[in-house]
Amino acid sequence: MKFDVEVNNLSLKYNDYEALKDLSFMLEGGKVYGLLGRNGAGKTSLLSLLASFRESTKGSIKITGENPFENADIMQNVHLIYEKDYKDESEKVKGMLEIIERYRPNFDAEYAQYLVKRFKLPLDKAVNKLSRGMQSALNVTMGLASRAPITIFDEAYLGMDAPTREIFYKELLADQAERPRTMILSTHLVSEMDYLFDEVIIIDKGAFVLHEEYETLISRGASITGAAEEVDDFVSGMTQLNEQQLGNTKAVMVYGYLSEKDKQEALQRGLEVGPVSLQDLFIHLTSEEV
Amino acid sequence: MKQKSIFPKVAFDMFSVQFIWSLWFISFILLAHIVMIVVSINSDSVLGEFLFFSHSSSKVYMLVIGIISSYAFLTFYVNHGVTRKDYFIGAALAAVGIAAAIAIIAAVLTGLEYAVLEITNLPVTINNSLADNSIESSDNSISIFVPKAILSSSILVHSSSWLLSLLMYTLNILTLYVIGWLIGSGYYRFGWVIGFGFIAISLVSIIIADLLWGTELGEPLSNWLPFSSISLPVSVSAAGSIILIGVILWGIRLLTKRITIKM
Repeated sequence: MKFDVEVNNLSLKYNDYEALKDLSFMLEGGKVYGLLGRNGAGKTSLLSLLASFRESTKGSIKITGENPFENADIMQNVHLIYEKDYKDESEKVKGMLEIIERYRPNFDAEYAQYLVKRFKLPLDKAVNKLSRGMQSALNVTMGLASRAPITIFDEAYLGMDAPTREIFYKELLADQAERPRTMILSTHLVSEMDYLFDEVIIIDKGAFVLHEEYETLISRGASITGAAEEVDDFVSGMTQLNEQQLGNTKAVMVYGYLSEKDKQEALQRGLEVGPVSLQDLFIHLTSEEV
Repeated sequence: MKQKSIFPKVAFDMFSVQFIWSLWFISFILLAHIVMIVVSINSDSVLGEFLFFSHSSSKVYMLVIGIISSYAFLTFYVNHGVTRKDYFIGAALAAVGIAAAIAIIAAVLTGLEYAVLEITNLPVTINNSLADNSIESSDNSISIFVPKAILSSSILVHSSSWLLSLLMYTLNILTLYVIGWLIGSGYYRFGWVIGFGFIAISLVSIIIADLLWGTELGEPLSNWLPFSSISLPVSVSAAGSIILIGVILWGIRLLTKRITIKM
């Protein structure tokens, strides 16, 4: 069964504060989605609604066409992984995995064991005795091994060191290739995770900004590299996201489609046209000045 | 693809976890009781049997684990895809199981206590028919209120009503568990300011529960009542207790039905 997610006019208010404003989008099952937004943009609020942690103030969420809230068949198949407070969790790693297995219909114990080894998690250690990075690795292990049709990682890498994050990304992609499911990854480590995303959703201050395929999105910008004067001349009039200069060589990120004609012109001037990074686009699209 | 109901799993798991806690609790109480027996041998004071002795501590213990219920389990279960409804039913069943388990263990230990004291012939006076409804140490420093009903139907005095004693013990401590659960749920949902309101509701519930069983009221707040205890037939006490538990459970369900889960 495909777990499509349909969000319509979703709003969430905390007293007077509008955390989410009229969001609408559709997530087709089986893809990896990057959910990007600045601090306080409403990412966690949105994800907690998807995971039935709370109810929206207005609007609806439909998963496989049904309202997920208090719907056992859907809730079992949605797994939100977030940074939990484990200071009172005296259960051992092994015990945690055994409990999860009882409640997640698609849990794969063998795969969990494999991930435990990959992350070098101590099975007999109490969860509250693990370092923050290790606790995150345990969360990720539970998240991946649950193989929930909708798996949501909300900043799940917090506290992990770079090599551990690499393992997480690799295992996520490997398992996704074999058993495609809907994954939603919320992050601000955009530059590090962008290659994981099939599609990107950006929200800002609780409002929807865009939802596009990763490839399409990054083609909405370009990096122009070459001699400083030539570059400056070429990009004048374009929306500039970012610039870097080394000696006389300058690289400027621009926002907006470049036509074939533009590209030809750039080549004639001896400029190099490259892709723009999602990170730069993200910063541009959610910056205060826009 | 309908999964089968999840609440039996929740009930079993919550029972198992809390049962382990309860075994620890009973061990400590048993230890304290043995110390009391030793003290009473050396000081000639009258001692209540284990069933009486453990009763009031069990009530406090059940209140505490009831309070913990929401915080320790609700977040966990909803995070793992269990509905609030399945959590509620599972937790309620587990609570009934724990109350019954503690009552049964306390009764068995009481039986053993009599057997051991009989065999060893120790000079201990165990009093299970106290008329004044309370157990007091010789210097009046400790006084424990025990329901009349349990006192007058001690399993060993009237062995025919052992089932009744168990039922009463179970209902009494179950009442305290659901009261704790109500406080915990109130705090979980509304935070500490409104949470105090739930403590007030709980005090009233505790007073009602005590009145139902004809226990002398121990709370200072109940001084304004024109009476300090009422006498009811056991069947009415039991029915009243079950209704009280039902009403509190209904309140907990209302509180948690659509509750926002803390992250």
